Amino acid sequence: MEAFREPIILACIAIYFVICILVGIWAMRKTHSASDFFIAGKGLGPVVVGLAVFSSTLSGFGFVGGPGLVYNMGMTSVWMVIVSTLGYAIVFYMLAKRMRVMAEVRDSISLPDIVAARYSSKAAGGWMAVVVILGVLGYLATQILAMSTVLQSILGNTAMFEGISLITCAVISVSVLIFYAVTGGILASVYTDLVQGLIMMVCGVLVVIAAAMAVDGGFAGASETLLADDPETIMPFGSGGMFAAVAWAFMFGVGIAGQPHLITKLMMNRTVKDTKVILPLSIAGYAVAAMLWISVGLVMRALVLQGNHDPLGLPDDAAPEFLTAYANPLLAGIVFAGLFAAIMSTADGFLNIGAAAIIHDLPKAVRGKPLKNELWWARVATVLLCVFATGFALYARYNSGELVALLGAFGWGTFAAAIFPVVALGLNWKRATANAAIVAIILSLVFNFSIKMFGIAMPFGMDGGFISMLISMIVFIGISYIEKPKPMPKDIEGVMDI
Amino acid sequence: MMKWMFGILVIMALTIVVAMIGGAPEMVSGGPHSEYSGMSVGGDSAARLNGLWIEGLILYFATFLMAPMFMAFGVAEHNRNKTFWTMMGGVTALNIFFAFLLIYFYVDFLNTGETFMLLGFPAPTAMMLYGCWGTATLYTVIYILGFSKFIFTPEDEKKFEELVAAKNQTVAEA
Repeated sequence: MEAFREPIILACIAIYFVICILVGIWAMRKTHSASDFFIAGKGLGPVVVGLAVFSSTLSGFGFVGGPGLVYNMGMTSVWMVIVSTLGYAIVFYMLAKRMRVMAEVRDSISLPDIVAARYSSKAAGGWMAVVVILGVLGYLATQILAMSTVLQSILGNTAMFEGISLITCAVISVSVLIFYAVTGGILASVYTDLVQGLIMMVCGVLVVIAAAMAVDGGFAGASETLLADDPETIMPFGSGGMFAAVAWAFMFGVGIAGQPHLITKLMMNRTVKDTKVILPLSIAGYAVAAMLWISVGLVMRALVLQGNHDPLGLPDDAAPEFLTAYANPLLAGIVFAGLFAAIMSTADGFLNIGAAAIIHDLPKAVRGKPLKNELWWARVATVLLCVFATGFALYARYNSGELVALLGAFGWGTFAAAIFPVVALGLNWKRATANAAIVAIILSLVFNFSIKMFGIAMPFGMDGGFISMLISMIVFIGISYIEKPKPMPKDIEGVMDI
Repeated sequence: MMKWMFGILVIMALTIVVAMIGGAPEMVSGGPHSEYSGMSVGGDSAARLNGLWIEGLILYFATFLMAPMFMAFGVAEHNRNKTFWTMMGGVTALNIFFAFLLIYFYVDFLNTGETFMLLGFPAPTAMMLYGCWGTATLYTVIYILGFSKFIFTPEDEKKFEELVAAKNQTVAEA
């Protein structure tokens, strides 16, 4: 089997791409309106939503960056995973019911729609659309770059595709993404998420077994090795220390309720009652898939320290090197397909909310009404957004890369800081005001961009997103307390009473 | 309840400010490995937290406390009855107990330089992986079991249907 390693890996990826295309064709027949395109007509079953929620949370970062971080700093980054049980519970307690009810009562099809309705403020909705668009550009560009780089590294190892360019790889992978995202909208997105989620779970389980077998003494042996080299690495706060670990725990645990690609999926299920099935499914899926994150990083560090593997050039090589050296070719093929699945499931979610922000939310904020024939414009916007993000990613790759890095860093922390107070707190607190929401959003944008642009280092290794979240929440609550609350529309008050 | 949460958030922010005023000990967020360029190390565990223990613990326990507070805040006030608070309080106590055990075993290791292995990991790390991660799943159990009692009660469902009916009527009239 080892002799056929490359063809097996290629076959796994080709099969995965074909499945995505078939799902796109199937979903196109079921997509008849903008509501179908953006929130699947609020008609998805709990299993589909459950797996889509977790798979869109775990991007390519979880499969490549995650193991790299564990290799680099030990247990510090594991706090991002540990708090997932708390985080998903926060999302569902605070938002699952309210998002779904709001979508029904106000016919909302996007997050800015909900914000505009909650605060009776087009400006608040407009600012939320700006946050979404900026975040989508950054996330999409980084995901597309990751997707193209992975495909290039796989194809480049084969005799047939030796020397294939990054641009060609970008065209291949983005074409598949565009095809199913444009034809089937969110329906194709969530059903491919379902396939992608299942692949990621299978990968998680198989890789943990392979990782335990790769090192003498299994995980206990790996722990002993790390303990002997630098105890802090395998201690609970890792080499990054207590402050960095706690900051990540808060930012990822609480901040998950501020991730737009995740929380908008809570508007798509058939009934409110489905959420009690969606929550455990999402947590179980994430936990299983995230085991890859923890196990590969720890085992690769132990193998290098034991002298059984050459030191890695870059921490991010941990997962690819592990798969190349220690995984059965079929497992390597499934995991590489899983890596594409992780990247694409996040990218399609962002494409969807980005298109909604451009053709639905911004026109509503500026003109006071949405565009005519939204479905057609949604498809056009999806293509343009994807093409623009690809061009942007490739330009940055071959030039400075600064801008894409800047927008990429926008990511989780800024979404958490800008969206958590405004949406998660705001939908549960009648006193929250539109001005407080707008200030919190603008402050989060300015703070996070400033940190990156001016290279401001946060104290004690804490992530800037955590500090930004604290400031944003304090400001949001503070301004809401200072201001005199305005009376709310009856239906919104009714939604918040439920 | 929002005032309590606001208070804790302010305390967390002030804690960071106080810690910053005190200055950062060497290696507080790690340093490069002497042999391998892609690895970082934590170095002397006790020294790098010198003078920062109280601030670190405040942020640590505040995080574990804020999570269930946010969850409870998401439950409508009229549904937060005695049973709800008992269940949430019980799970939070258990979760924080394991968070405390993590610190206890960690401090013991810092003092003695020794620890024991539990299910493949040193005791403090095992508390994190199995205790903190595991017990937090009980919040999900409360969500599932208490769904029709706290989250979306039959009365809530009726209100929801009334809201949808009112909307449909407005749309029809328009």
